[in-house]
Amino acid sequence: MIDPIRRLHALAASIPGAAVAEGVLDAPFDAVWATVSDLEHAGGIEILVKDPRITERRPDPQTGGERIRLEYKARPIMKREVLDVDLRPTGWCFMQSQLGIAAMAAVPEGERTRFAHLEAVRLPGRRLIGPMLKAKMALVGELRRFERQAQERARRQE
Amino acid sequence: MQSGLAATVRAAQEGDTMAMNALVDELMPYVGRICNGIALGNGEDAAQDALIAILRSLRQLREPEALRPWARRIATREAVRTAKRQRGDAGRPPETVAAPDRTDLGVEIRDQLERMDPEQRAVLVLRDLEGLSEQEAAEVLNVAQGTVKSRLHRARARFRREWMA
Repeated sequence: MIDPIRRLHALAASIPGAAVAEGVLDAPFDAVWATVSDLEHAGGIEILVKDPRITERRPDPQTGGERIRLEYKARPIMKREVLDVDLRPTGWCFMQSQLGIAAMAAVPEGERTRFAHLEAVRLPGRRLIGPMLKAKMALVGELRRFERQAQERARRQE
Repeated sequence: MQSGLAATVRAAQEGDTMAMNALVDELMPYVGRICNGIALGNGEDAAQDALIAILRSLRQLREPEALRPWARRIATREAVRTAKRQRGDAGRPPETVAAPDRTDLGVEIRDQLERMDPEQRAVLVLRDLEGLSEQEAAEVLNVAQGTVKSRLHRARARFRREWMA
C-alpha cells in the first residue's frame, strides 16, 4: 500500500496539466484534516470557490469515508458547479466537477503534517493552464492558508 | 471481472479522474503485494511508479476485462526495475553469508530474499504467491518458459541450501 501523498503524486503524474503544492504544515494531522473536511468553508482557502454548499452526503462503506456532492460558484465566471467528493478520514480527499479536479492528501509527520494539494482543469489547453494553476497556488499561498486555518482549529480545541 | 469494473476502466480511459481514483483503490492492494514482494524495502517506490505507468498507459488497454493481468505485468516490470536500480546504488549483497541465529524467522527469510536477484524474486512472487503457471509467469516477465523454470529451481534450491546451512 502507498500513503495518500504518494497516491496524489501518482494521480498527478497521470493527469495532464495537474499542478501540485506540497509542504509540511506546522499543525497536527487531526486539525489539518478537520480543516480539509470542512468543505463548506473551503472558500476561505480556495479563491476560485464561492459559496460552497453540501447538497448530498452519504457514508462510503468501502473506504470508511463519505461521498459528498458540493455545489459552488466558480470564480471568475460565477458558473454554478457541482463537485463529486471522495472524502476519507485517512488523509485522502479527491474532487471532480465538469470544470476541474482537486485532491488533498495528508500524513502525520511527528507533531506536524505533510500535506499535498493537487489542482487541474478539465478543459482544452489544460497542459498550458497547469503552470498558471501552480503559480496561483503559490501566489495565494494556499498551503499557508491551510496551515493557518488548521492552527486556529487546533487552538480552539485546546 | 464484474462489468462494473469494466465500466470504471472505460470511464477512466475517457478522462474521468474519479474513475481513475477508483481504479487506484481496486489495484493498490494487488500492485502493492507484487511490488513489496519483489522490491522489498523499496516496495512503496515501486508501487508508486507502477501506478503511474498503469494510469498513463490505461488508454492502451483494449480489453478492460484484462485489467488485472495487464496491471500485473506493469507492476512486475516496475518492481524489478526499482529493485535493480536500488541494488546498483547500494552495491550487490554477498552471495552467501553465515546462517544467522534463527531467533527471528521473518528477518531471516527477508535476508534470504534480499540476496536473490530481483528476477528470481519476481519468479517466486508470481509462481508461489500469485499462483501463476510457468507459462503465465513467462508471459508476465517476457522470457521463455524454460527460463522461469530454471530461475525458480535456482531460487528454491538456494533458499533450501541456505536455510539448511
